[in-house]
Amino acid sequence: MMHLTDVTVERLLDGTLAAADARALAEHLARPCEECEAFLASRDRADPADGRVDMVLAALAGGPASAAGNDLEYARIQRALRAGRPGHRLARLGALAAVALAVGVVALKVGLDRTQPGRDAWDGLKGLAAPAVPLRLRFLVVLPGDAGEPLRLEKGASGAAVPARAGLQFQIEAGRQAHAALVRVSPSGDGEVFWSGSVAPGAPLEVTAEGRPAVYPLGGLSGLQRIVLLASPEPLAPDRIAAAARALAPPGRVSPDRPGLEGLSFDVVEVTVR
Amino acid sequence: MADTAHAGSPSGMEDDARLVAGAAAGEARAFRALYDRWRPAVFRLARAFADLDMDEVDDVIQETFVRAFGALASLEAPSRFGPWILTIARNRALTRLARRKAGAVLSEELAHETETLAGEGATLPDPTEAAEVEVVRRVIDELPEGPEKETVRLFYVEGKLSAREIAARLGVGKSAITMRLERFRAKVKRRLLSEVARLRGEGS
Repeated sequence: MMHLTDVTVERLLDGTLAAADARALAEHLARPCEECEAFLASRDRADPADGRVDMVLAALAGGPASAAGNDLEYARIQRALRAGRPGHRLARLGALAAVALAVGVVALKVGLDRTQPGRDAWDGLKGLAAPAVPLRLRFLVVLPGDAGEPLRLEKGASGAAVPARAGLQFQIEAGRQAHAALVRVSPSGDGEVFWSGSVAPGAPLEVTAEGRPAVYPLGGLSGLQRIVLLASPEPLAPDRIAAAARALAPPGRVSPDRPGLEGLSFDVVEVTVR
Repeated sequence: MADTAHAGSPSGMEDDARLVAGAAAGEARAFRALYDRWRPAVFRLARAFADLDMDEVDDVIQETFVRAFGALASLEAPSRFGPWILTIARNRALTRLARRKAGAVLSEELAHETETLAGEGATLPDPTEAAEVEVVRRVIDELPEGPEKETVRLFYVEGKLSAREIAARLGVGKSAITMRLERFRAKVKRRLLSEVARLRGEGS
């Protein structure tokens, strides 16, 4: 009886298995074999036969609408190809850690609206039809080290619980040029703008203040916090941001159809502060 | 959305060969067309691993296309772009899960996997896709009624739910769903390897 092994599979696929052995193997595999199936299910590396299997399985049914590609993802792929570094995102996290360590826990609560007045002055174009801006908001949880230990950076997951001593470092990706703002929205619908500026296709934008990584401190907050990235090809006026904040107040469902969100693109992350 | 059944058909393979040639010549539209054709299949493959969250599924998709597009020149049989990129995708997902189990930071030690895969994929005998789909349907029919068959039906036949969503719907752990899907795949792969072995035996 010829059960499958790594060597047998390799020789079968590269065509070096003797014809007599191939015939015996074909006969053996034509019938169920728990040992061979367990072996195949446990392999931790894919071979070309896996690609064939997955192609046939993919042909069985269509997928959900979300299976289709999108411009933002494709733009990220193009960027990575241009950079020539498939793992650039993770490498960047390492770089960020190094920078954060160098500056210490800066814990900046930035307000570029206030520090750079007039930067995004309203130009009266409200109401113009605005094409959507593909957006993605990600964040890192920055945890101060204990007793002289270095900072810890953890990839943020929307919906996760985070300690009040932590801070959040945001990263923005946009599929087209736009004006953007980061807003913490309270349950009452009040919006605190803690960053605003321009975004553009290309490398993800790390939120900074005066050239340093900016950490949004969670001290003094508790419970559910909703952070909203708003964007529009038009400049974002304070009254427009305020209307959007009211439309996106937690814990209400996030819906693009709410009044106040006309012509705006947005992405949302939430954390629960404990 | 790309029609992956069509993408894997003989005419679809010809289209892939044409698109790969265009992409290799630097045509931006060819790259995008390959992405649109195969993204749904890569997405579904990654979603079969219930231990990957949505963010990680996105990463697997991105890494897969970056690696495939970056190694197109090494693809010896351009008409086999489909199985080739799906093999890359599976390796990306498995690598990610293995690193997590090991508690290690993701590294790039599989950087040369695509070059290796290109040559191997080109030498496989080629049963028709229609025959292979028929084999898969038979494997499903032969499964005894029960949780495994239900899981396979939800994931592969209906195709709307991820493995995570199926776990939630059936009220079982994520790993159990991944295991059921992998066991089913192993049955399909056993049948495919049997056919490959038969063709190899005849070919001598």
